[in-house]
Amino acid sequence: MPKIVYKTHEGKVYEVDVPSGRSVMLGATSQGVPGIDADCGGTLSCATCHVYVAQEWAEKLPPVEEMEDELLENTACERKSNSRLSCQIDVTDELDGLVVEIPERQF
Amino acid sequence: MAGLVIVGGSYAGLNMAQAARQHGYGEPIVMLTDEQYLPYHRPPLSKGFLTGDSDVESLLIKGEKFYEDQQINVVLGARAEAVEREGRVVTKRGVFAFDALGIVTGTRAREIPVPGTDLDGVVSLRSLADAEAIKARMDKVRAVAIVGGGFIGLELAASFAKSGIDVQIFEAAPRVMARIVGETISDYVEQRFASEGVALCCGLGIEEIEGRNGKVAAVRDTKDKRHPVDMVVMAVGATPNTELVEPLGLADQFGVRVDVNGRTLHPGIYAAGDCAFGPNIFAGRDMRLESVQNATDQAKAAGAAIAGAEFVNDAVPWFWSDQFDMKLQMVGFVEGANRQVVRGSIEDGKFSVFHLKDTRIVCIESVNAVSDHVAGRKLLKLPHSVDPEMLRDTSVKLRDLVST
Ligand SMILES: Cc1cc2nc3c(=O)[nH]c(=O)nc-3n(C[C@H](O)[C@H](O)[C@H](O)COP(=O)(O)OP(=O)(O)OC[C@H]3O[C@@H](n4cnc5c(N)ncnc54)[C@H](O)[C@@H]3O)c2cc1C
Ligand code: FES
Repeated sequence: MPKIVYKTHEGKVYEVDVPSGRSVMLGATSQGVPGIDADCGGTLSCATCHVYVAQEWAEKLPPVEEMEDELLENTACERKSNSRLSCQIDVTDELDGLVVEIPERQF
Repeated sequence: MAGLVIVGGSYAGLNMAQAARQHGYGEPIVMLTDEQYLPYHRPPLSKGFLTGDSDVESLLIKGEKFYEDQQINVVLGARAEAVEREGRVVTKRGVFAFDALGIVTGTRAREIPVPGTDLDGVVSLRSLADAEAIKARMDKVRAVAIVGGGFIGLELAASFAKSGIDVQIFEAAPRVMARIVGETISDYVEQRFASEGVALCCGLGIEEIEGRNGKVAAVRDTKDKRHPVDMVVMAVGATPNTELVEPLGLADQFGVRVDVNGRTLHPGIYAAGDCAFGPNIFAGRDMRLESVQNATDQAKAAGAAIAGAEFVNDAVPWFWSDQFDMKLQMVGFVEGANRQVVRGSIEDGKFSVFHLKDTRIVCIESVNAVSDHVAGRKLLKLPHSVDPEMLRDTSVKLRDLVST
């Protein structure tokens, strides 16, 4: 099962096995990783599942689509070039080892 | 110490418990829920759930691990039957003593006195169990009547239509979603439903549901026309679950009365979410709201208060609804507005309706205009002013148009 590495703002690291097809958001919320609120449950409405994807992974992800792009414009913490909404990243075998950083706040 | 007992396991319950812990509450926390699942996301139930293949686990707001880590003891299938003044909650699964009590019981589908609602095939949607029951029927159903053109009725109608089921919506009010959106959005949505082949009758209620062998056969509308259907969805709003604390004098027909920190009149008893009626700082008046945002933010304030901390809930109210390819998002309240400006293109299905009080934006209703919505969530919180005419210029980002 692909492993996803979550780094919290406080510097704690969580390594979670996430089944393929699940989102990076669900990988965190289902295993008690703090800091990803995901208030809308992945329906692309809330922007409280913001993460920074480690640079070396950023290009391996599917591109940001229009709605995600617009939601990212107003995240609670600064949008950077590697900002993504974790509910829009579906885990695949190719993403085994993906590292994401969780911002300080989501709202 | 008996600790905190929370009655209701959903957004408000979860956030109340989490906030209490965050603010240092160290006593035991027990969460009683009459459902068979850990708190889960309700919005998908009327949206993707019926047409997709999402499983229960992907609906859970937090997995089991979270409750273990936070030491929140969730008791499933435990309906609270009574609250005793001496500090006990009575359930069939035991009696739970409390020092602090959180009432986060939400709402249930409202019932209306129409003959035939007890027939097999008359359903409503509030819980995951309801959604599973509806999903199980969908294969066999050919024609559905939806009673109520609120957002749940419309979302369900879109889900059914997508599955090739004939849908007819009966809305007694003159327009859809009249309680939560302005006329421009209602008009637009009504047209979109018509273009998807959904029969939508505004200003038309139902008089009776007719049965055959105990099963739904037809609905008869208030103009005495008969419509053969094999399922009827009652989606006429929600009633707050206040019965538990009514004997204590803490609730009336509006909901469980709370202050800005979620305190009821009884020391140690708090309430939040869909069942609570109290001050909304943004609106400047008391109200009861039914939204994920409200349940979450109210419960955070109540959880903080339970832990002896302060969390000011001055959040800007927001809401969303997905119907066909329309992402509707609302922020703020239309009330008090004296001017309306449309930004974007109604023809292209990507626009926002801005409601202003003079030069201040009080509400933004967006259709597939996510960026207006999210900018609005920040903007409406701050004192600001904008030249209403400038809002029409979509080449300039909203945040660059407004001076705060
Ligand atoms: C189909 C559907 C779609 C929705 N879509 C959206 C949307 O798109 N956006 C949005 O913002 N909001 C939406 N909502 C509204 C949103 O889900 C609610 O505002 C939110 O769930 C309120 O949370 P709550 O914790 O206050 O109450 P609820 O979610 O109603 O939870 C209350 C819980 O308490 C339990 N309970 C009640 N009485 C007792 C008792 N005596 N003992 C034990 N347990 C009890 C109930 O079974 C329930 O589990 C939707 C609601 C539904 C039903
Ligand atoms: S969970 Fe709401 S946008 Fe990702």
